[in-house]
Amino acid sequence: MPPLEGSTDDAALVARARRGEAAAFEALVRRHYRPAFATAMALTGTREDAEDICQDAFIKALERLEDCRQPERVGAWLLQIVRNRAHNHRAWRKVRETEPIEERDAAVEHDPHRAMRRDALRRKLESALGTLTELQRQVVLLHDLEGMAHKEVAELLDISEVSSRQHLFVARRLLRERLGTSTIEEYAHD
Amino acid sequence: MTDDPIDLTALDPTADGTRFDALVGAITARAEPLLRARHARLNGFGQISAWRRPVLLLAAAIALVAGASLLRPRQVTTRSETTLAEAIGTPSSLATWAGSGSPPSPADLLTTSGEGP
Repeated sequence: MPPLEGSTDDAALVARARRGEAAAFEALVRRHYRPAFATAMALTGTREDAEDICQDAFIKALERLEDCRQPERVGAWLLQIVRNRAHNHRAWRKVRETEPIEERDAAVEHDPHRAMRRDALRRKLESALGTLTELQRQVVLLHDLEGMAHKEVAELLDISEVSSRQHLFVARRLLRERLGTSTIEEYAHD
Repeated sequence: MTDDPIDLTALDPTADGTRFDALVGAITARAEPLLRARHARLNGFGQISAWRRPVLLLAAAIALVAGASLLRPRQVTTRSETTLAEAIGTPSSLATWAGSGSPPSPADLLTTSGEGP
């Protein structure tokens, strides 16, 4: 883990990245990857697309770093870029949705059985998430995957905190129905 | 009905450290030329910035000197009117006589020649 991550505030990292410091940019990527991924995942529905969008969004953010008027809130600014790119990506996917999606999994887990189990669970989760509305997906991923509080989720998605709670409640109920109790238990002990 | 969080760690991109490092590495590799360009651009501006202060100081000093010389009150040189006769070395009394049209008295002649009272 690079020494910059966690020890420097966002504004300082943005200032250093603007000067071309690779370590500062990498620290920003590591710090904001999870919320970016959760947002992209909610909007596209697949991990592969979410990863592509995150990569594009971070590069786009670097190109336009001077446009970030509140460097201390670079996370929120970045998520806006992620959302824009996810919407563009979905439009692009609609055009070429007949093409097969290549499965890419660069990393190999040490335990192949565990990796297979995990992969199967991930697919079930992706499938179940796909049945939710976009807003429900965003709320449940930002809250349960990223660990954001309702206040943060509400601010980010421009909804009320009450609405965030309601969407989360419904999303969790639907996910449980889709996944089934056995999958959730298996998942919990994996 | 329970409202416990759903365990979504299978979707967590950071859960697998090796995979996450690869993801970050892919982004930073793409970012490298952009970061290099930023660094180079900043260095170019840095050179200019480094010279900016001394150049400004020098310009300010020149402006100060020029301004001071412009604002300094000019020395008024009062020069008396010089007649043509004086300019060519003729005593003014002779020129007066010539201009009056009447001949000088003997006393005037003595005064002009330096032998008078």
